[in-house]
Amino acid sequence: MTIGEKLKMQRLSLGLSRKEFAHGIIDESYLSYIEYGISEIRVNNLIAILRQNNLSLISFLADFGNVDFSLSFYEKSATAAYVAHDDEKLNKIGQACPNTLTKVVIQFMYAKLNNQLEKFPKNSNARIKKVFWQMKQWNTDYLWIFSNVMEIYSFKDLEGLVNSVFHNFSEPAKYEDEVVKLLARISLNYLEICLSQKNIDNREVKKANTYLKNLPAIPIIAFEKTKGVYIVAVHRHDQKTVRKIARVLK
Amino acid sequence: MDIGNQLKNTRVLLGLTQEQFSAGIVTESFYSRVENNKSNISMNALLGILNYYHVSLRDFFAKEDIKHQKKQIMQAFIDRDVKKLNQYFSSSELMGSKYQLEFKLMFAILNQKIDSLSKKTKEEAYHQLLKIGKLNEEALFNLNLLIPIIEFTSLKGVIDYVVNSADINKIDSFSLQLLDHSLLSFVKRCFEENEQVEARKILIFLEKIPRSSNLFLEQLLVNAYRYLLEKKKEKLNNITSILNLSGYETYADELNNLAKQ
Repeated sequence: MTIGEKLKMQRLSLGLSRKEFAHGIIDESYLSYIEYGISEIRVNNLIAILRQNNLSLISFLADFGNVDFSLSFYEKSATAAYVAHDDEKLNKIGQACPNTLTKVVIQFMYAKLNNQLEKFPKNSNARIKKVFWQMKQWNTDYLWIFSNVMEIYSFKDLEGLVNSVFHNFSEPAKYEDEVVKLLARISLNYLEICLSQKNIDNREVKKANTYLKNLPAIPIIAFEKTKGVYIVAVHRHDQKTVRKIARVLK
Repeated sequence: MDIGNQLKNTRVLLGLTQEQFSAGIVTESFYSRVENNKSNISMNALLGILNYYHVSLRDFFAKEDIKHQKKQIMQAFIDRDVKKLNQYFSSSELMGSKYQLEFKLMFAILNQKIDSLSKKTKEEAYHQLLKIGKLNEEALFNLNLLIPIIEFTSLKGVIDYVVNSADINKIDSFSLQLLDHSLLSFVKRCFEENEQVEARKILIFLEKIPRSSNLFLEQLLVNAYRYLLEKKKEKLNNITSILNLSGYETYADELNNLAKQ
């Protein structure tokens, strides 16, 4: 089946004329050329037509490529396994993951979990860092990678990258939950790293803490927000708060 | 969709140059213009490139799928974000009209104006949304809309069904969150209706849900409800205190209100 043929099939299953189906996007004669394979449809027009008719783009494309696996699925599974300290599962996920940068990052997470960071190949470290040099704009993938590899940077370099995140994501109320979760992990990790430095930079601690507190109080980041309060309480020797929260954080 | 940007990100994450990525399917110069959003590419050519490098189409196009938008709406409701819901409602004619009933219910619930819903609306909700066959994402979400609204005795039957059919270990993360939320909402209702036995039953089920950093708040609430039932005031206060410290005051207030009853 070609894209044109499938488009026609979808149109007919909705009982629509070409005019109705492509209304406001392309004209009916152009749609007929597409349906008959004489012309090729542009990406943006196809997306618009499917959306207008409440049809799933991914389901449509299932006949034309791989919609089953998803790097995003490996990323989320790896994060879950890491947070649960399940190194066996993390290893399995890493092995199943296609050969991409995601796989390298998962292997890094595994090394981290087993305290074997010194053994992690230097060229992999470099490959990860290269991505951030080339990056023009932050997106979900880069945030995920960064949240997991913060340890490869010296504190000074880390400071620059984290502040770039804080600067570029300055309106947390607007972002999707998935992005907010990554921002929470990054700010929490940064807070922990700041507080573990020999010479603590209080300005950076305050920045990290403020950023974490300013993220919206949505259910999915309650853990990160609570842990943030906890580690600051530990730092300030606020025993009352520490004891209170330690019990629920186990 | 910003196709150029998405192409670039995909290419960079694969560690390829523009020449390599265009893969002989389109000319390098054309590819470069597409990446800079200066030219439009046909779906056939785009698929040619993506399939050549085994790029997941799901990853590439996820944000453009209508299911993605629906998910954002569901999340906004769970997050109690009225502002965002308003934006989704007014920005999309399609979403606004097709899901009119759902939006009506969502706003009523979040603005605590359930009593303002007409009998007709409630009946419509009952008939349209109570199709809980398979416990998919949509069904679990609809459950969240029904629980504050439906008459309690009818609700008990539905919840029993859900608890008996749900396979916690096979459910995906977001569906699990929807399930957790709906059951917590039901427990809250049990307290309001003074149905302690029901509440206890559901809390036992909720405690079986595996711990995860995504469900931390829900787990705190399960414990809080249990302390409420067992009248363990100090332990309950501990939790409300933590909720206040972490910025989840509205949840703490709700618990305090229930404790006063």
